Parts: sequence; C-alpha cells; structure tokens
Amino acid sequence: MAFDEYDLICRSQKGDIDAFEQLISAYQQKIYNTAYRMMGNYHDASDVAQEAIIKVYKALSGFRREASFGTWVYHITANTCRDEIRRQYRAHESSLDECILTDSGEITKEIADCSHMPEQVLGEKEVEEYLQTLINALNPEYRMVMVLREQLGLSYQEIADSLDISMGTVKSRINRGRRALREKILADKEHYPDLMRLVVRGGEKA
Amino acid sequence: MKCQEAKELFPVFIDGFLSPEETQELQMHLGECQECRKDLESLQELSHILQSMPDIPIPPEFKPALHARLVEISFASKTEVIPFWQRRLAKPLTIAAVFVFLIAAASLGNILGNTNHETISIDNTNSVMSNSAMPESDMIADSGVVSNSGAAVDPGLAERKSISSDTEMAGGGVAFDAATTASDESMSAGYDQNVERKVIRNASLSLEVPEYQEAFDKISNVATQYQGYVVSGSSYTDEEGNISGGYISIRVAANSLDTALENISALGKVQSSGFSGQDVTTQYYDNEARLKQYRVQEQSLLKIMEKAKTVQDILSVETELTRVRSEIESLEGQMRYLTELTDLASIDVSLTTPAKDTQGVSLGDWSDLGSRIAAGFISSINWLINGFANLIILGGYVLPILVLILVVVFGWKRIVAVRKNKKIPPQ
Repeated sequence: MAFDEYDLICRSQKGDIDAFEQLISAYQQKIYNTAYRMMGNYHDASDVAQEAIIKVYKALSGFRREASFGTWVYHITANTCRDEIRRQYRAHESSLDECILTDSGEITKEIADCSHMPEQVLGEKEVEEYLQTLINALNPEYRMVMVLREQLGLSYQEIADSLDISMGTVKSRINRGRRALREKILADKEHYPDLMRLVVRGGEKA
Repeated sequence: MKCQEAKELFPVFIDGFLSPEETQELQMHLGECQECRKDLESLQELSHILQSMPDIPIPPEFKPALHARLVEISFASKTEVIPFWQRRLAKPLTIAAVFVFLIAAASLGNILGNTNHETISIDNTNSVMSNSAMPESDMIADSGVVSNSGAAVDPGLAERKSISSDTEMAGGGVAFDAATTASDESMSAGYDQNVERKVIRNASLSLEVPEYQEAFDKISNVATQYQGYVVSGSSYTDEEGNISGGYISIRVAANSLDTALENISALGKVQSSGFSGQDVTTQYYDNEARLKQYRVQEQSLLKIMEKAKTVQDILSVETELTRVRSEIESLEGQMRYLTELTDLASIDVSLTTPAKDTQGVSLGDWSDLGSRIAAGFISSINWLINGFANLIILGGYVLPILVLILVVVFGWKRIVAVRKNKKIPPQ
C-alpha cells in the first residue's frame, strides 16, 4: 500500500492525471466531508473540495515525502476551507444564524427550529442533518477548529498552524465549541429525545 | 485540583493529548467530583457523535468536473511559456544583465574622459557640414609654438592662427565672441602680461541678404560707426543685369570687432563665418628695438658730425646718417602699419541675394534635383545611423533600470513563493 502510494506520488509528480486521481481517491471522501461540514452546503463543498484537490495537484512537485501524504493533503484542505470561509465571512455571504458564540462564550441567538415533530424518532440521517445545522450555526472561527478536530482529526498543533492561531486559542475554542453544541442539544432536548439519550447521559446539571 | 482547572483540561483529555501526570491529576479530581465527571462524559459523547457522523455522499458530477480541471491545468502548465524562461533562463539572464551593467558602469569612466564630439547635420535646403568646436587642446599647443618662436625677427615666423567655425546660424555673433575670446586667451599664454599684444584680426562672413544695395550701405555705415572705413567693394550681376551679390571689405576699430560683426550678422542670414588672428607682437617689438638702436646710432653720428673737420669726414658721416635715417623711417613706417593693422580689424563680407523669380521657363524644383536627392539620401542614411546609435544608447539607459526591475520582480516572486510555502505546509 505504502509502496503503491509512493509510486502513485512519483507518477503524479510527473503530471500523470490518472495516477493522481487514483492517489487522491483514498482521501477524497474525507476532503469532501470536511468541506461540507465547513461550508454547510453541497455547492460550496464541491467547490472547496475541488479547489483543495487542485491545490494538492499543483503543489505536488514540492511534496518531499518527509511527512505522510495524508497529513499534508488534510493540511491543504484545512487551508483551503479556511480561506474560503474567511472570504465569505468578509463578503458577508455567510448564512443566517451566525455569531451564536463569541469569544466571551455567550450564546446570543437561537438556531432556527427545524420543524421536527416532538418525540420524533430520529434516523441516522436526521441526526446528521440536525448536527450539521448546529455546526453551521457556530461562529466560523469555532466551526473551523471543530471540524478540523472532529472531522479531519488534526492535532492541536496542526490546527494552530493551519489557522494561524495559538495553541491556547485552539484549546479554548474546542472547549467552548463543544460546550456550546451541547447546550444547544440540551435546549432542544424535547425535540430530539433519542439524541439526548446519547449525548446528555451525564451532562444534565442537577 | 479545582473544577475550573479540571474543565480546562477536558478538551485535551478528550482528544488524548494530555500528559500522563496531568491525566492522573485529572482522574483524581474526577473521582471526587461527580459534576465534573458527568460534564466530561457528555462532552466525550458529543465528540464521539461528531466524529462518527456519516460520510457525505460525493455528488456524481464531482469526479468528472475534477478530472476536467486537472486536464485543463496540466495542459496549461505544459503550454505555459513563462515558467520555462523563469526557471531555465532567469538566473543566467540576471547574471548576464548584472555583468553587462558592471561593464557599462566601468566603461562610463572612459567615455567621460573622452569628450571628442563630432556632429554631422544636414539642412533641408543646403547641406552644410559644420565642424563645431575645434578641440581646445590644439589651440593651446599652437600658442605654445608662437611663444617659443618669439625671438625671431622674420615676420613670417609669427604664427598664423585661424579658428574657423562654419556654422549655419540664423543670426547672432555668439560664435564670434567665443572664437575671439578663445583666441585672445591662447595668445596671452607665454607672453609677459605687461607687453601689449599686437594682433591683426580678420573676420569673414557670408551673408544672404534680401537687398544687396541696402546691405552694402549699412555695412559701410558700420565701418564708419566703429572708427573704420570701407577698404574695397565689388558686386556682380546675373544674366538680366540685376545685382545678385557682391563683396565688401571694411575695417573697424579692433575693440569693436565683435559688436560690428553682430550688427552685420543681423542684416541677413549668416551662411558661413570665419575668424582669424595674426599675432605680430614679436615683429612689432623687434622693430621697436631696432628703431631704438638706429636712433642711438643717429645721435652718435650727429655728435661725430659736430666734431667733423674735413669735408671728406662730413660727407661720409652724412651718407651714414642718411642710411640710418632711412632705416628709421622705414621701421617707423612698418610700426605704424602694424599698429594700424592691429588697431583696425578687417571684416570681409560676401553678400548674396536670394534667387529672384524669373519670367522665363524655370526648372524650379527640378533644378538641383540631383544634389537634393543626394542630400536626401545622406540625410536618410545619417538618420538611420543616428537612430541605430540612439537605439544602442537607449539600451544603455534602459539596462540599469531593467536590471533593477528584474531584481525586484524575482525578489518579489521569491517572497511570494516563500509565503506560499508557509501557507501550504511543507509536508
């Protein structure tokens, strides 16, 4: 496997598109997941994922194989997502319910009610959609840290490098991000009892 | 450990980055504090849920679109020209440019030290080759010859110097001023400052004037105005008997020469002009010395005459006295002539009038077709040569700037490249 990847990288560096597509196919799903969690919709996710893969292809000649190819690819993905999110944020393109969480840790807005029926039994897909709504509602800076951590599994140091923030900031954003999501779920618990059973097992304060 | 401290460790603990010591401390606290345990458990559960969220189905059109972009990019990178010369030629080009720049800078010193200019210009109507500014060093060398031969008696040895500046001027005696001053300066070199210099100055002018007679009269006036006179004049006529041109030679006070020349130049279009100076200082003072000698001889002869007793003696003294006196008169005459020559400068003016329209069949523009074609040809060739030279000179001007631009561009590219490397992690 490792040898195959090495071979594929070598061929890709020489401009072999087929080899590159084969090479990236192992990482494509994770790249796409990350892009979708970050952007919150299919359209932007496709654009960002494609952009990230194109960046990988263009930068491939500079890849020296000192670290794993996967880590390198995810780093590029993180950077691409960050750039796009910051661009959209600056352009005020970002969606509906933002600024729920500020650095002071305050929740200022309620997320949109998903119009699910109370006591509804949730399937896997519904849970996923609900969580995505919560993620989308996070402040972009928190969203990025959360997705890089939970979806891509980057280390704190890698997240700090990717986003040009300190390790302390990464730690505090992960902490607050998780707590914010949990508070949200607790607030919606009457709508999603199944989910609550999973999450709020011990989280409910006395 | 307090609850606040413990909660700060939660994320690190959940993500598995906590050190063994800290983990131990945290677990001690968790054993005591139920609230914190519950808090941590729910956060762990949340993290787990987030991490186990199902994969997002990749849209079917994603792969084909990606493939198309990859093909497009690899095609573009193959046909791109810039990377080639950036990668392959940038370094050698930069090095070469720097070398050429250094060579150019080094040779600049040589160019500055060598200020020999020669300009060739072509007028539309008449091709006048003008040789401007005779190198000054030549003049100084000439004056050196003059001073060295100062003791010579023969008037022919007095160096004749001429400075010619044939320029096509539209009027004004700037060139004359320059020539006169330069000549004066060169002549002063090597002479005792107390000795009055005796220089015969001649100037010649070729003027095109609208009216011959009017110009002639005005030049005569200039002569009298500056304590001079008309030496000679002549005129010539064309086939129909009209005066078409002439020649006038006048003399004016030497110190008014420049002003007189300016006045005359103003009468018409100066087509050529010349200036010459003849230094007769040595001749003059030599004559003066001989005169003194003869005068002394005359005096002693007169004394001898008084003492003379016999007719024989008187006659022989008388003969000698006559010879001495005639010598004295001859020398006095020569000196008067020299004084007059140096006091009054001569100006020779040749006058021409523009060709008048005639009633007969005229060749008009065809008359000097050959010479004009030649002039045009030369003009064009010169234009080409000058243009080429200017192009090379322009290259010289542009080169340093080009080098600077290259350096800046590549410096900038480097910075950008470094930044890009920063953005995209090395591995």
